[in-house]
Amino acid sequence: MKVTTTEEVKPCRHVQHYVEGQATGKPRRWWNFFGWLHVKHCPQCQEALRRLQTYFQDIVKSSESNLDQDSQDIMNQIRSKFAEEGDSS
Amino acid sequence: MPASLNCTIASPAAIPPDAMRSYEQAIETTLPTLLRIARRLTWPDQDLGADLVQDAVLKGLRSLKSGKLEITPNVGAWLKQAVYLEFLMHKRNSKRLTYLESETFDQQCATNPKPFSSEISPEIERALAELPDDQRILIILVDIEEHEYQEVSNMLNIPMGTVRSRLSRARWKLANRLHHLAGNQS
Repeated sequence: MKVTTTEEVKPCRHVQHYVEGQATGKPRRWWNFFGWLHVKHCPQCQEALRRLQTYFQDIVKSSESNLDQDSQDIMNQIRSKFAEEGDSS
Repeated sequence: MPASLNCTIASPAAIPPDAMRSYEQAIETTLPTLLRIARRLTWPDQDLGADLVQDAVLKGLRSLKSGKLEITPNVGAWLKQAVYLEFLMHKRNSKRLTYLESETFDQQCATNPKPFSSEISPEIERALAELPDDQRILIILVDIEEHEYQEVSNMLNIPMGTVRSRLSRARWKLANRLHHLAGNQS
């Protein structure tokens, strides 16, 4: 079976946990051999695994952020609001 | 809608200085995370994200005053939940986010080209923004902020099985969506 790039791909249902485990790096041990064997011969599952791995790489990159300055500004605003709330009580 | 986290009830009185200091410390520690979560929820409206964080923090202060919240190691989780609840409340009360016209959305994307990191395509944020709220918050908390399933389940007060299944659905949606985007760009 050939998988085209435009279609939605999900792994075969019985190895879905295995594929997700492989992509997250937390495979469930007892699925390993059976899942590995299936994915090795199934182009659809291979493609699904590849897409999910790409997703995780992208999402990990997206969590690298630098909000230090913003956090500092907001913390200052919060402190002044705290003072206001304190005055009003 | 998630119910509030279980926190010990303290006697209603003025906030003791120690509790106030601990609360401020808790905020300082969790603020970058709160800000990231809020801004991802409200993306591309970055200012709204900051407003939600402030509202959540002030809500915490009022709860502390009224004795509904006590300073425990759970405060960080309480604040994250408060940010999510503020977001849901805001969304319910206003049409600002729900009915963002495509043009406005594109304009805001253009004015906020680097919401989190210079390396990231806004397409990822956009794909994330198009997920339903209940799936998006799980992607943010589990895949981006790296919380455990159990923590998230407690935080949002939803069963573990629901966390797993919603997360799985959301991941496959995003994986396919991002793959198509990459395919279209190349």
